[in-house]
Amino acid sequence: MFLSVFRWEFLSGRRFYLVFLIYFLVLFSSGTFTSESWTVEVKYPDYVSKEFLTPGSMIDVWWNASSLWWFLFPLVTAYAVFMISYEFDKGILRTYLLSNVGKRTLFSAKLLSILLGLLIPLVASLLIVYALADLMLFSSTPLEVYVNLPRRLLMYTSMLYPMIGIATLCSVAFRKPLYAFAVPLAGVYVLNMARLTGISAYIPPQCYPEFQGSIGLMPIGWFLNELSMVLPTVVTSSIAIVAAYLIFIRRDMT
Amino acid sequence: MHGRKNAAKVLWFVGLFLVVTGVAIFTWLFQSLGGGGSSGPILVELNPGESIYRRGYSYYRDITDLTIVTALHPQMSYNFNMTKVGGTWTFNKSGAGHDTFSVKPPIRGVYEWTWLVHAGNDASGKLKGNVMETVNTWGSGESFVFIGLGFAISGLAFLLSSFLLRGVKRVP
Repeated sequence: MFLSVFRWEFLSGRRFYLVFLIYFLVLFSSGTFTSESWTVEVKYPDYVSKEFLTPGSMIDVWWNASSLWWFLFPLVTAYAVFMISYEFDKGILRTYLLSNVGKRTLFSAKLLSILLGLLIPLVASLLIVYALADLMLFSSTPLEVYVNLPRRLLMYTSMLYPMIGIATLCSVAFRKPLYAFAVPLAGVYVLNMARLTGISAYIPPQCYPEFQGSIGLMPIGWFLNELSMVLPTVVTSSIAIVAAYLIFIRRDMT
Repeated sequence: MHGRKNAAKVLWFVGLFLVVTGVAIFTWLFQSLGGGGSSGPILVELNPGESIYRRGYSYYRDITDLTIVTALHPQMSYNFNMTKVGGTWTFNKSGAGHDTFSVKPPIRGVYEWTWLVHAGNDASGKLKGNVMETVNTWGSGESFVFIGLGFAISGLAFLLSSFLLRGVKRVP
């Protein structure tokens, strides 16, 4: 039951074209590569240090988190509104419920399709971007090229998750699709313009400088530091998603 | 008839994916592919007879200008060596005191470099100096034209063939 609902949600209609749009924008914006220098061995009279380095860690994608955030937020909101807006789907929702699909199944299928709809274009475009960063290295040792991939994925995901949270909550809370789309956008952008450390300002640009200067594998301490910076966002977004879920299953569908 | 419709759908999405990829890669041409910058001066402080050794790796794009300025004590000598990893190109420069030289690696790739700075045995007291590097490296976007157009054109072919497969709708 879940699978067929999910397949219908993910692949049907024109929603899938939004996934293509996100794919295009991520690929479009991440074509700038950075190259770096890395010292691996230092021998002073009273000091010696050595570290290990692979060629793939020398090249990374220059990625401007804030600009990606600015254009991805409207898209993610639109995607969420298309996915779970009550007004858009009124007829379909009724059909679902008449055919014994539970509200829980429906909500989780919709949420999963939003998550995958964002993560699939992301992973696909990163796989292409890193391969093209150095074709010669890619043709000789393909895996070395992808050394930075997990780190970048973590970064993208930590940015996307709050977007999903806000967008899901708004598209469930507001019945009119226009409000569901416009209210979060207006809220986020106005808060940002007013420099009130609004929702859009506080995650990605904050966690970005940590990554910006560093090329190579991330030390475990940095990684934990990164996770702790992202933690408030993750908690807030999880609360938003749970709230959306509660509203969704308690809403009267008649 | 049903299989034909499905095949048209698959062709449509594969074509769309290829076209979108091709166009996005093509737009990279218009982005700056530059990179580099200058590292702050690396301070060197040595007692007579001591030496320091540094080894590292750098990734450079197609066209690279590397300028190195040494401002060392006249009694300090240096040796700089650079080798292409997996290639035959090497560069070696040694000297003493104040010096400026530039290096142009021939091709994109990873380069290994080593620095050895040595203070003369007959020097009196601690010797000081610093080394500064300025790197300017950028790529030619040429390869993106071919890759992008390759994706886009093959994608268009898929899209067109999906139209052909879909056939003509019957008009009542």
